[in-house]
Parts: sequence; C-alpha cells; structure tokens
Amino acid sequence: MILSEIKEYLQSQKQASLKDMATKFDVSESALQEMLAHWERKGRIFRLENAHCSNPCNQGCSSCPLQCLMIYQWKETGK
Amino acid sequence: MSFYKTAALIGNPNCGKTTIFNALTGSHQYVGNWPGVTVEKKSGFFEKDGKTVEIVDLPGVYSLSVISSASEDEKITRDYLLFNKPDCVINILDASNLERNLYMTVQLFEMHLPVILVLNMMDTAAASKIKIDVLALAHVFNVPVIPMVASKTKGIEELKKQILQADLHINDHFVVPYSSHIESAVSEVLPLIDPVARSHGWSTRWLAVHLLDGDTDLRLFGSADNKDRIEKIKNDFSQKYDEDTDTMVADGRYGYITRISRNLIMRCDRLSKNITESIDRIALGRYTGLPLFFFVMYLMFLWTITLGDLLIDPISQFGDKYLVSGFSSLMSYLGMPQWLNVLLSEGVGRGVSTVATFIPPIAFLFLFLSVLEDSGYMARGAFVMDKLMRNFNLPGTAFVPMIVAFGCTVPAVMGTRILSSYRDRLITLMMTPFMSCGARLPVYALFASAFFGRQGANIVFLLYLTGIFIAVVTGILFKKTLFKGAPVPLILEMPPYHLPIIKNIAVRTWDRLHGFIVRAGALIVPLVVVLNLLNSFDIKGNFIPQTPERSILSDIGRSITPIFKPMGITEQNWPATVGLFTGVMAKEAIIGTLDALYAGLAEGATSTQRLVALFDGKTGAFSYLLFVLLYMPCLSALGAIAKEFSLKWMGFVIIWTTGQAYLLSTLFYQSATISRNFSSSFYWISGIIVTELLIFTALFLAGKGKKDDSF
Repeated sequence: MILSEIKEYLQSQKQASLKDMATKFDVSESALQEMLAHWERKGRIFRLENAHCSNPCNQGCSSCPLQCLMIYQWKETGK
Repeated sequence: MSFYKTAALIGNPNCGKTTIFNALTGSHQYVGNWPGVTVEKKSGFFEKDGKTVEIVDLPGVYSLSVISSASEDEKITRDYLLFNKPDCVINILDASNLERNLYMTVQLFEMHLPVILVLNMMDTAAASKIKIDVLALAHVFNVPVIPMVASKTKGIEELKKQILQADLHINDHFVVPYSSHIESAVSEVLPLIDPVARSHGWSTRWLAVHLLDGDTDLRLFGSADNKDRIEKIKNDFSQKYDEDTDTMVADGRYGYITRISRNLIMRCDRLSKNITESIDRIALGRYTGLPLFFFVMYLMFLWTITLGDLLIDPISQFGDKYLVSGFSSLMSYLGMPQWLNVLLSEGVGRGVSTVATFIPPIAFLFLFLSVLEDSGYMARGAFVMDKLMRNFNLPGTAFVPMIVAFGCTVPAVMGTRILSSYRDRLITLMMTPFMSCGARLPVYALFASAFFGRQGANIVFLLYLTGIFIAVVTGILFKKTLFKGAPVPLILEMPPYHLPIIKNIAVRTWDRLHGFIVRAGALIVPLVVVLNLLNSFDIKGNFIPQTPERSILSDIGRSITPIFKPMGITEQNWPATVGLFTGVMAKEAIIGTLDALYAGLAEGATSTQRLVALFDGKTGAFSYLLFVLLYMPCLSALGAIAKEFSLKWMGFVIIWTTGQAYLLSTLFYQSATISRNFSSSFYWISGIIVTELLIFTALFLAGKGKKDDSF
C-alpha cells in the first residue's frame, strides 16, 4: 500500500525529492505532499527546510523548480 | 425563517468554496460564530421555485480525521456533520488537484452522507491539460457530479436544482477496502460502538474506522470504558504489526484513491508510456544518450547566440542613440551642469541600455531551458551525465544540481541537498561553479559577436563543454584525494515526457527573466554610475570627463592589471580587469562595466570597437572568457555556499576556482602565443604544469591519511 511503499522507498534511499517520488509512485505532487504530511505528523520523516532557498531563487537570475528542492528524509531512530 | 433544506458546503482550502457560497447566496448572508469557538460561521440562503434553502459554509479542511494535532476547523466540521446532520453535503473539489481533494470525499462517503460532488475549477484543470472523466467519478461514488467554473458562475443553477431534489441518494454501500489487519481491528471495535452509532444514526463501520484513525473525543465512544478498550485494541495492533492503526487506515484510503484516480484523471500533456519508452531508447541509449545530450546543448547555444545576436546590435544602437547621446543632448539643451549630465546620461542611461542589450540572449536561454525542463528532457540529460560520472566513481545524482547551475549557481548549491552523503555534497559543490551560469552568457554573447562572428555559437558551446570537463576533472581529483569513498547510490526517477504547455513555459521563462532583469538592473545601473564617477575624477579630485585615462579608476585598474598580463590583458586594457572585480558582485556586472568603461575610452568609436582594439584578438578574448567561465562564483552563490556548508568551504571554493581560472587561462594564452616569445611562454607553461602537479601532489598527500569511509 502506498504509505508503506513511500516508507520503504525513503528508508532505502535515505532521502528523496518530492518530484522524484511523485514520478516514482505516479501520484500528483499535491496528493503526495499530504501522504508525506502523515509521516511528518508521526515524526517519522523530516522535510529539509527550503525557506531560505526561496529567497535567492525569487530574486536570483534563475528561479528553481521548488519541488526538486523539497527533500524528505527518513528518520533512522524513533518510531 | 424556516428552510426547506439545509446544505453544508465542504471542501479543501482554496478549492473555490467561498466563491460558490457567494454565487449561491448572493446578498442573503449572515455571519456568526461556531458554538464554543471564535471561528467565524458563514451562512446564507437562496430561494428557488418557492423553496428556501439554507447554505452553511464549513471551514476549509483537508480531512475529517481528528488527530491530536488537528485544528479547531476539523473539529467544527466533524461536529457539524455528526450532530447537526445537514440534509445535503456539497463537497467542492478542485479539479486541478483532484487526487489530493478526494481524501476527504472518501471520508464523507464512508460516513454514508447525502453528498453532491461539485468539480470546481474545470477551466484551471483544462489549462493544465488535466482531463477528468466526470461520468466515471459519478459512477465510482454513485452520486451526481456537477462540473463547474465558479468564477464564471457556470454550473451554479444546476447545483441549485440538484440541492432541491426531494430525495438525495445516499450511497450506503460505499466501503473502502482496508488491509486484513485493519479489517480485523474494525471487527473487534464494531460491537463496542454499535449502540452509540445507532442511537445517533451514524454509520457503524465508519465510526469504527474513524476511532482507529485517531479521534479521541469521548462522545464518539459511548463510554469511558469503551474508550479504554479501543485504546487497548489500538496499542495491541501497534505492538503486533509495528505500525499504528491510523497509518494503516490512511494507507488504505490513499491506496484506494490512487487506484481510482488512475481511471479518473488523465494528463493529456503526458505522452503515452509507449512513446516515452521509445524516445528513451534513444535519449537514454548507451551510445545515443550522451551525443544527443551534447547535441541538444549545442542547439541551445546556437539558438541563444544566433537569435540574441540579431537583436543585440539594434538594441545597443537604440540605447546609445536615445538613452545615452540623446539624453545627454537633452540635458545640455536644458542647461544642466556637466557633472550631472555625465552622471545621468553616461551612468543611468548607459546602465539601462546595457541591461537592455543582454535581455535577448538571456531570454532565449531561459526559454530553451524551460522547454527542456517542461518536456521532461532535462531529467534525461541529468541521467546520461549521471551514467558518465558513475564511470568515474563520482556521485551520480550530482548532475541534477549541476544542470540547474546552467541557470544559476545559487539553487544548484541548494540542490546539492539531494545527495544524502556530506562527502558527495562537497564533491558536487566543488564541481558546480564550473557549470557556466546564465549570468555569464551575456559576456560570452558580447565577445562572440565582437570577435568570432559566425563561429560565436561554437565558441560558447566550447566554453560550456570546457566548464563541464573541468568540473568532471575536479570531481575525479577530489574523489581520489580529499573525499574518498564509494558514492551513495541513488535512483533517479524519469518523469514521462510532456508536450510543453505554452503557459507554463511562458510563466517560468518570465519568472527567471524578470528576476534577472530586476537584479541586474538594481546592480548595474548604480554600478555604472559609481564607475563613471570614479572614471571622471583624477586622484586630486579634478573633474576630467574627457580624459578618463587619467582617472582614479584608471589608476587603480592599471596598477592591478599586470597580474593578468600572463593571460593576455595589457595595461591599456585595464577596464577588463575592473570587469573581473565587479563581476564578483554578480557576473552580469562584468558586461555593464566593460560597456561603460570602453564607451568612456571610445573617442569616436563604439565601445565594441574599442573592446576589439584592446584585446589581443581572438586568443586574448578566449583566454579572458575562459577566466570568466572558471573564476569564483558571485557573492550570492558564495553566500549560499557559506550557509549550506561553511565559511571554510566557501574560502576553499574561491581559491580553487580562481586559482584554476588563472592557471588555465594563462596556460591557454601562453600556448596559443608561444611563437611570439618562445622562451617566456615556455617558462610560463612549464611553471603552470609544475604548479598543477604540486597542487595534485598536495591533495594526494592531504588525502592519504583519510580512509575510504572517513565521512
């Protein structure tokens, strides 16, 4: 089932970007974000902060696809 | 007022619920508070066929699960649906985000409520090439579905008609198939809560699932004793299966939604799996992948430089004529003092004119990059380079941030996060600055058009390839010395190919271009003003606008320039040196500086003619471009490196990039001009080779003590 698949994928990959996972599981990025939010609430995954990256991106010479930078990490310890 | 019916509006945040509420009720609205909380409650009514229907606008929520972190909004929504029992529940779905929106829909159907589905934002979905099978959606849930564009009130009358229907169908056969573990937990909970569910008229199965999903509200359990027993069932479950019941419930729902979505939602922009696979046979092919990637890159520069070149001259002439000379004449005519005239026409006017000239090549580059990204090819490009890098035992996925660096180094530095090992991140960091960023392109474009004519695109392509080559060599070198160890394997997911959507590409190109123009303008215009001031005064403070060769800036420039003499910059060409220094602020400043300073020295010639006269022909120009390609990244990128890594690594990047830039451009220049002064060139070339060997040896010695798994 999909939440467990996400868990297994992140456990094996250690971390992955939202975009990659959306491609892998063939779900929309917005739907996937909700699924990942479940694991976040459970304290099992950790989303790398991208707050300070949106700043230079907005002002810089090139905006970056933020979904690529939304990276989720599986927490090794804890349940 | 007595109502024929009460209908509740429910939906995710930003699904267009408020627009529909307004369209339904018009001016018949009243605002109050939900009982016990300060959350605003909006209600209203509409009249049709002599009947009055009350509409209650429920808070926007993503789900009806009331978990410990749930907000007041979820509790209000749950309570209203359970205890107020509206005659009809209108579930508004954002058609462009249907998969996400369906989670709550599934919960509503599990509750066996009288639901009408409204597919809102059909226009947005269509614009994003998302097609929804409305009939199939109605069939899955066995209820009416109304497609709507609420902003244009399309579908509102049909919705009113549906609400007024006497008996709304309740799909009380709807069940989500959960895993056998959850089903057995449900069957344990069912007998405990059956009485309380029946007494309120709630679906018993839904209540059992909902309690396993984490709601702890005592009213739903019937008694404290029941609550304890169900908590025990949940705890036993977690112990037995090493997973909580709420995760398994959510898993069941998401799995169900993912399955039904595949038949409901069609992405028309995606090419079919077969077509994607056939293209990938070539795009990712063992022998075809890499050549194709380089060919696409070549096309990118051919397109960027050729088209940009067509527009650079007219824009530059227009700028010189109106923004600089014309503006200056106007100021003289108005009797403005000369210093102000110089400041405004030569400073502000020329700054704006310079920014305008490099908009075309940058715009074409960003357009091409956006098409590559939107079509899905960019990921393939990363994939084939990735395979190449793996041959050298380099971290494969490193090429993803590196391709981003063709646009800008800053997001590329951030993008190194995609690599999970710190050691691989550092290697990638060392390689990233050599991927030529978009801001360097105007410099190449200017030199390409001034020195290389029709060969321009080839020269630019050659520079980019050189950048990639130096990056890979850097990677291999560090991998073998300072950062030893096997790379962490990472799988790269290939998105299906897309037919590029013009709107997406236009938006992305504009976003980048706009950011670029604003940033470049904000920097270049004041910079050109300051440079002009420094260029108009001599060291004693006399105003000498006619003889810039005696100015403070000229003095400073001349005193530094000898450092760059080995790579072909003569003392008369001091503006080139100043450009390298201002380029540290941002690479686009190089071109602003060169344009402003050469214009000052021009004396009857254009700044481009002056540029050509002062550089040592094609050899000198290429050596300068090589330095611009390789030397330290701009301040924003350095800031990002310091933030993502440390000041120490930032310093290391500065030394490594600038050092290599100096050594390699000098090596190129001296080799290319060896026939002019053999002995001097020979000493330079030997000196550089020895220095590089010493650096390599130092790195090997530094890495010798490190074990393979030292990170």
